[in-house]
Amino acid sequence: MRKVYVIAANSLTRSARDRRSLIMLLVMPLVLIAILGITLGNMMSGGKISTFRVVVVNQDQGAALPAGPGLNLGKTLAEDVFGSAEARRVMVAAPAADFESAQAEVTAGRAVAAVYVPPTYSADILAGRTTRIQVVTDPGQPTLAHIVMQVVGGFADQVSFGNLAARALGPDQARQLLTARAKSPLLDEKSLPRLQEVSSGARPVSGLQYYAAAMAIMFMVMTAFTRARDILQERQGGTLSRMLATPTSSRQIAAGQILGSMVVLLAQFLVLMLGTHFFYGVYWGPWIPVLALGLAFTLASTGIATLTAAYARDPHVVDLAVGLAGNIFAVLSGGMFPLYLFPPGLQAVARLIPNYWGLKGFLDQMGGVGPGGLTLPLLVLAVTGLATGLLGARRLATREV
Amino acid sequence: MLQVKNIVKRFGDKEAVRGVSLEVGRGESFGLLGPNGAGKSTTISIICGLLRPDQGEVIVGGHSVAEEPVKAKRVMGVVPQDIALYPTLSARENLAFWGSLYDLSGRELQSRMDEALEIVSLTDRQKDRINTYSGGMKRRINVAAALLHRPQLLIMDEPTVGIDPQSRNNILETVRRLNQEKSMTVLYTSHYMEEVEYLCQRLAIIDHGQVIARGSLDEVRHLVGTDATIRLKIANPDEALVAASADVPGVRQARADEGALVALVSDAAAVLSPLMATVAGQGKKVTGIEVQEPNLEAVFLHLTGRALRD
Repeated sequence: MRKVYVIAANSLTRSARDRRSLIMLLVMPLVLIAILGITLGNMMSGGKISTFRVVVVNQDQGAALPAGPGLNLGKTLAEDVFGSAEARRVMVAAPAADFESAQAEVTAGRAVAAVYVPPTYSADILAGRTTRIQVVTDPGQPTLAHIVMQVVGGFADQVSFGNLAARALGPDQARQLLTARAKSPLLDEKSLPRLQEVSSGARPVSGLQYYAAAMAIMFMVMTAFTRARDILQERQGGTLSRMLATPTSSRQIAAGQILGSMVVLLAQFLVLMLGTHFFYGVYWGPWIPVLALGLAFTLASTGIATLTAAYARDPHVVDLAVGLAGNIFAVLSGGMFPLYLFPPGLQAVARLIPNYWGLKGFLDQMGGVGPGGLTLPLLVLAVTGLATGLLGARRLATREV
Repeated sequence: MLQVKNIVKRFGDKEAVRGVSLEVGRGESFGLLGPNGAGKSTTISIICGLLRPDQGEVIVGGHSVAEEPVKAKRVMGVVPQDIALYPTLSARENLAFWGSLYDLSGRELQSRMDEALEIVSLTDRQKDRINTYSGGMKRRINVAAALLHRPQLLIMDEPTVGIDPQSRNNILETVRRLNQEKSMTVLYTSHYMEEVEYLCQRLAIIDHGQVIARGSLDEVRHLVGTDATIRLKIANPDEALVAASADVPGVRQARADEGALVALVSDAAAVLSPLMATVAGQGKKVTGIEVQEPNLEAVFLHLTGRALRD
């Protein structure tokens, strides 16, 4: 067992000596937590969302009908939809005379989006012709832009139904249907990115809390795969062969390498957790469940990374895995943007990724869910870690140099 | 000390080692010579227990590498071809790690590290990180790491590749001293024939995974014949000079060749003096002398038709 500790300690010392790794391990996540938590976190503060500006250019001249009142869908969008109580909680819709000046507002950063309804919009819809609403958004505000797109997209969905009705039933019946549907609430509670939707607990979770957990998870996965790459580099650089030429068994070596990875990951988790707690005032939840979750997530990410190291031949392949696992897993599991913004299909896919269970577990603890909410994430992470870790360790121990 | 019995190793369809057998006695320095890709490193990997042979057996210090790997590995110290060290650790930290894997600890480990650093003359740089060392210094620490547990058998796989002459001499001197003064058995692989000639009493030449020659240095050298070549630089060596030289006792053959008299002789040391006297007697002035003894390079060329470093 002493040799296992010696190999693990060697791993830890080398990680501590590598400045680039230390920056990736600790500094980057702390900086990102601060940036993301502060910039996006205000949308996660339980209804206290600071509003943003949308410029609406409604040039729709409406459509007159032989019987009854005419129809102006552009006006409905500008006044009834963007002016609804739900929408006004997050955005202020300002009118503009033309699309160019509206776009200039977006370019200058004074508005998140410019929405343009063309003059013949209602007439085209009622005539069953193809038409479109144009939206220009600020690429620097992807989440807020997403909300605007969701509002306009929802409105367009309702209207396209009327468009179909006009083709099938005629304009009069289409108008009746449209008048009823287009005003229906399009921006409901679910459309707003508030974290209470994620956390099922009693306590609201702030943006800083959310990103503290999400970034800790993302960087732990990246560290796990970086360690897997180091194991492969030991194979290529000759130090593994040299270890195997000593009276040390391949099992001891594999165990030492895995233990080293786990210690590095756990240390990273503790530094990020304590760092965000003391520097940013992040409340992670009760200590024991949080530490248990940290350990289980360490086990899961080490296991998957070990399995990768055991079967990969080229460290560059693992580098690719660092990118995939670190970034794509993080996005898919809600590490970058809250998961409820995703379509249901992607939300289901997220459940296959350990990041999802880690994030869910931590958010539940932050949100005040009791120990009952801990069981499933702990179980999934522990089983994933043990299964992949044992398989990887077995292969590492039997693989020829 | 080392017995390699008819080992075979295949990688897919390719047979990298084809029935190699070797025997190295206690205290002996044995050379394994061959060009790149000849199968030397695969043979060494099998001896060290890193690769399992498809056939055959290796016994080290009386222990089968396959059946008693831990006991066999305690007997060996391995200097790999790669610089198998951790660049961000100091020399001493590296040695502490490798020593721990040989079950050394505490004061014993400290004194062994001091000893190994002294052997490779790097005591004064022991606290510096390996990534600040020159290539030659890294190679010397690579050797030191294999000496910590005072192995009975030191296996060196091309330990001087790509280093400066000073470090190369240091390594060669170190190995020679360990062999001669501490009776350490050495298995030394190289494609530099002069290193093997300098260090080893016996050798085997390996090519295409097979031993193509083996024996003492003299035995192997004489596979190409026993003649040495003496080449005397002389302006206009004429036929009279060639004929007179051919009559000198010990000269098997003499000829003129581009401003030189070339003589094939059985014993260069014995023949050189009377040959010089004969040349002087013919009124000729010698401006340069070259003596070429039969060497391993010539043996390899003779056996394979290729140069060692091709």
